[in-house]
Amino acid sequence: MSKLRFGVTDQMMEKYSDEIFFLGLNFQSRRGDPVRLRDQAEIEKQREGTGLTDTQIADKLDLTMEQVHYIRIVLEHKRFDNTNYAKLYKLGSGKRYRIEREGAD
Amino acid sequence: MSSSQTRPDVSGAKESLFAYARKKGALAVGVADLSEIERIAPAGHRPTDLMPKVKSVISIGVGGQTQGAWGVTAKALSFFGSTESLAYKIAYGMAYYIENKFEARSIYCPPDLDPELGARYPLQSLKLHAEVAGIGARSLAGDILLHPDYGYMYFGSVFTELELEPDAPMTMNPCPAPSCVSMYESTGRTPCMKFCPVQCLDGEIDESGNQSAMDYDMAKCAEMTQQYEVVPQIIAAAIAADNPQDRDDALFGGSNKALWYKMSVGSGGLLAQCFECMRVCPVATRSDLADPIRRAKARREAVEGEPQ
Repeated sequence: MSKLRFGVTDQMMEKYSDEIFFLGLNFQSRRGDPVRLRDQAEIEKQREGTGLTDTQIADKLDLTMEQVHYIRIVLEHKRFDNTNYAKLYKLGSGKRYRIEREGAD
Repeated sequence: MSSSQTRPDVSGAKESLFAYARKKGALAVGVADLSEIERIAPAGHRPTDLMPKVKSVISIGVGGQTQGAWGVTAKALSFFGSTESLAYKIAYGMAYYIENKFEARSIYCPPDLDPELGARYPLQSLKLHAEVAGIGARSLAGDILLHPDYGYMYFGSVFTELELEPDAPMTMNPCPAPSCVSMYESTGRTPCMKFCPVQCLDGEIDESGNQSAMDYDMAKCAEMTQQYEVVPQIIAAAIAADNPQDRDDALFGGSNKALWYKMSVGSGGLLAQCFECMRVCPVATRSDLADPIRRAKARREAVEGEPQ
């Protein structure tokens, strides 16, 4: 019901899911050190990679902020892998995570 | 002259505020260039969006862990590893201090998420404030700020209508440390990248030993640090369960045992509580003033070095 209130359809969810998920703060890329070096041109150039707000994503995809917000929040919950946290229970006190041990325990 | 016409003496205000912060336990303090933050932060997250007449942004950094904390289990560290509450306390006090001493409107900048946008967007970026104020530089570990002397800190910010001379960002970035560069040259990875339990960190170091690229899978990191986000997923699974056993598994299954406790008591262990990248970071753990033992040693040496 609520997604219809924002005009979010299943087709829209399917079409924009990955793009919205990646354009938000969920993935962040930085090249060089532009904020520290006060390189405003480079900051602008990298803005998309460092993560956009829902309003910025909406402008880019020609959606409303509410539509982007709804889709992003649903995805962030649905894609959350609840099993990873348990990895912490075996770490510390000299024991570090090793990818080669993954699945061996 | 009537008392209403007298104005407080604001000369030396910046030094006074820095002394206040240090007395209360801050390790580093800086004033960020407001115009720069306004240019960099997106609309809705600029200081003037929160406090329209703000003139200065003060960033306060407090120490991370004790030296002993880095050696304990991740289970234990998840509960006491964060020390941000001290930064918030100092920022809160400083806002009162400025109003009381300099009669300029001030606020403690809320460090929390934006209630309109959900768990992954802050109202303001305390990281940006601190970086522009010159008390931290972005690391390969998901842009966590590091300081060459104090290593890993937590930050709080104060917004004020008091005009203060801004500081400059740091001239050097302590990340990557020389030992991390060596490891990267031989393996293609740094310690933070290698030992992250969800492999959420990636990046590149150039021939000069500087960061050239930082890639951070924050969604993966959140799985280790923002457990509260999973609650709707658990409830949805319980509602959708076809049988009582599946419903019990969803609500009471192994990984959720402590979650209900944490939720009900509002435990800090629910928040940013995976420290595995910082645990192996030489800047965070071994900078000259990174922990109370190192700071005590530095104080002792300074006293011993003074002329008699």
